[in-house]
Amino acid sequence: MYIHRLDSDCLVIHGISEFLGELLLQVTRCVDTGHPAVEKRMLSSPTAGLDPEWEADWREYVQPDLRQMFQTSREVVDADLEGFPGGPSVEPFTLRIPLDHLEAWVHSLNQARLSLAARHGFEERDLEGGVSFEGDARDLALTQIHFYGILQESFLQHLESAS
Amino acid sequence: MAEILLEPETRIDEATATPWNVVVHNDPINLMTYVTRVFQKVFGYSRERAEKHMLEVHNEGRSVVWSGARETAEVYVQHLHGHLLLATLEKTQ
Repeated sequence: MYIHRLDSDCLVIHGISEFLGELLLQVTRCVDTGHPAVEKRMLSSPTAGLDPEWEADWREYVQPDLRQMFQTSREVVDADLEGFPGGPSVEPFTLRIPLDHLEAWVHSLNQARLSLAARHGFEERDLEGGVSFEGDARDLALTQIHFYGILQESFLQHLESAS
Repeated sequence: MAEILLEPETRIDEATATPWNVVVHNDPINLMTYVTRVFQKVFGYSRERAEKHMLEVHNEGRSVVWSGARETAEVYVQHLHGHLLLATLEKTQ
């Protein structure tokens, strides 16, 4: 798989295998906002629990906007993935992403990585080791986190070079 | 000695006038390049300054990324949460 800038408006991911294509489709689906650990991480405390009154205001007035912002990013990604991989075509697949959607992709990939890590309780040492995929949900989540991290790094480089 | 009673508004003004720190805490999931970019975007920091704070977060677990008026600090914390960084507001010592 490789990523390159097609023109001034578009980025293309070439050579996507069926497995990686499925992981791409999971970018927004794996953000489990209903899971308590995910909710706690994505909507973290602004005072580390030291000011309950202010935190109550934060929950009431700020967090709805944050939720909406997160949702909006995921909707952009969902729109780009609509129809992907498309038809009965054979591997490898290709995905085009408009450059002005890259910020939403970076944000959604971050949501996905944080959500997976919170849900499976990953810590730093879990991320430092290699991935030994044995087929369970935890291994798959770790694979997703690493894959999404590679995409995020690449997209950030393209954003940097575009600015 | 006569007790000096402050009007509620005065008390609030004094509280908000105290400098506050915006602190970012380490998170092993967020990429270093991502955190650097967020600091550049939210605070308008140069790449060098953003990387300095990012490395401080990474190596020391936290970095005071901005200090000043509480209302502005709250806005910054909100922006940082919008980018999914672990940010808190602390009154300066």
